[in-house]
Amino acid sequence: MKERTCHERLDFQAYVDQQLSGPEQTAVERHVRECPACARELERTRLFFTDLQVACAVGRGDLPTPAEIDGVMARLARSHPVPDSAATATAPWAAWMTGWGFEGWRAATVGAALGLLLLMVWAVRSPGPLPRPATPPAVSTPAPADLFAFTLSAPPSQALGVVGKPGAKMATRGHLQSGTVYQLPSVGKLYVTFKGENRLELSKQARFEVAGTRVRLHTGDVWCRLQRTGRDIVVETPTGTVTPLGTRFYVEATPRATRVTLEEGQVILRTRTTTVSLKRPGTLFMLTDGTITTEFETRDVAVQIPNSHLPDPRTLERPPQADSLQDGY
Amino acid sequence: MSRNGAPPDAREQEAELIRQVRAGRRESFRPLVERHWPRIKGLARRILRGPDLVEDICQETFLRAFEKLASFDNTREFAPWLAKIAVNLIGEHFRKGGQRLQLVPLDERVFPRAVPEPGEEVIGRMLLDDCLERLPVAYRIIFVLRHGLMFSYEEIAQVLDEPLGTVKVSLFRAREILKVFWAAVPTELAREGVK
Ligand SMILES: [Zn+2]
Repeated sequence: MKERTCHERLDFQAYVDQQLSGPEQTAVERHVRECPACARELERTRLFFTDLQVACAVGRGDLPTPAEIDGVMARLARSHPVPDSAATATAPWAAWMTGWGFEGWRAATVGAALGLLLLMVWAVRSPGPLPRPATPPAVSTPAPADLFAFTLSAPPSQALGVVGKPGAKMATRGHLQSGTVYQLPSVGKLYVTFKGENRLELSKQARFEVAGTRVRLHTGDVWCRLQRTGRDIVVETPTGTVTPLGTRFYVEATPRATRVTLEEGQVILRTRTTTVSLKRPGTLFMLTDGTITTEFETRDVAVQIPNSHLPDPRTLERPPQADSLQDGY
Repeated sequence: MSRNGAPPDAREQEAELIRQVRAGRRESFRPLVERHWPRIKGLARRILRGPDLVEDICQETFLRAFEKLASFDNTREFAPWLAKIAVNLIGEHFRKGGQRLQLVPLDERVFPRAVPEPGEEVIGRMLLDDCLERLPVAYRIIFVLRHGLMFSYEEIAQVLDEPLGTVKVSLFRAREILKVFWAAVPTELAREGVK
């Protein structure tokens, strides 16, 4: 009880809302590092903002039906009858864009080859800066260096790599460092615990990094099973972010799309243009143009997304035992 | 397409589509509708009652946008401009009923006093939904613009034609009040998300 009485008047709302100046922000961070009462209050404020975000998010029910789009276009055609001869000359990429509705998959294939090429170039170039701060707390509250502990499960010849340091071979266990981009070996899985009790499992040669409580997945996939203390994790991919709310979910990042499958709980998906809250078990795709769709056609995609890829959840129920790691394959 | 062969980003693509519409290619408006419909609907359905009305406002927003597209500054973000049209339409709707979209000082008596019994299957955000619904229209709009559509305060001020300071202070105060209600609910329900 005693620690609850703190006389600092800190503006946590402004902090989480990212309205503080640099020095003010630092002052808050410095204080909460030493004051458990305020640290708790900050955490509460973050949860409050997350709940607000859920309450206000654009939902799946807000996605337009083809009939609704047609309705608008038909009204336009009636009220503004212009010869639309130019429409056929639309640039290929524009036609490609146009195809990303919820019908139009045939149109999509027309420009897809070109689009895919461009996107591969783009993806290779860099994962790109992600759009606007996706969740309220891009907060850099005290993030101890041992927030993420990992254990590699792979044959003895395989090791966790560090991008940019070809020779570097990591031990099979340790802690993930902020600012380092890790590369999973061609065979193997990485089991990560966050704050001790939240489990993440990376595979498919994932390339990723951690920053604060964020997991930036450049490519590959991550399976998450989170407890309440894991609610501040955010998974970022080149196409968007996934904010969980006490949840079990799976994220796969490829150059063209991010697949998010929810098993339990709730997640918020955000791209540069769209926010969707996924409340029931199911799968959504975040595409590079910012749209979020329920379907994603894979036949024209070089990177195939297998339908039955979901890892067996039981692998998470039973975290790997240290002595059985090396012969797991 | 930019020089380094990267696909134009969403903003650039939008600007290009807008140029095409202005040049007479009406079909180029379709992807703009597809892309922005969810936000406009997400806003409208939280403010207006009845799916027909929501759909009407959405349609009308895009029709007006099409008609006024010549006046859009194509170097700026399209989403806030579009949201402003929607908000004006919503304002017109409420004016017909004698109401005005105003950021009047908030009276916390609009919220339910009764705090749910601990042990009920109630969580903070369900209460939040309820509280948000009781807010005056202008506040609801700000909440959705900020927390749902992630607009900046400057963008929100433009959309609502209110001074930046008023927007910030109003939202801040509204959140303070909401948070009290939110915090009164036993959110530490162990069962939530935890097996
Ligand atoms: Zn304190």
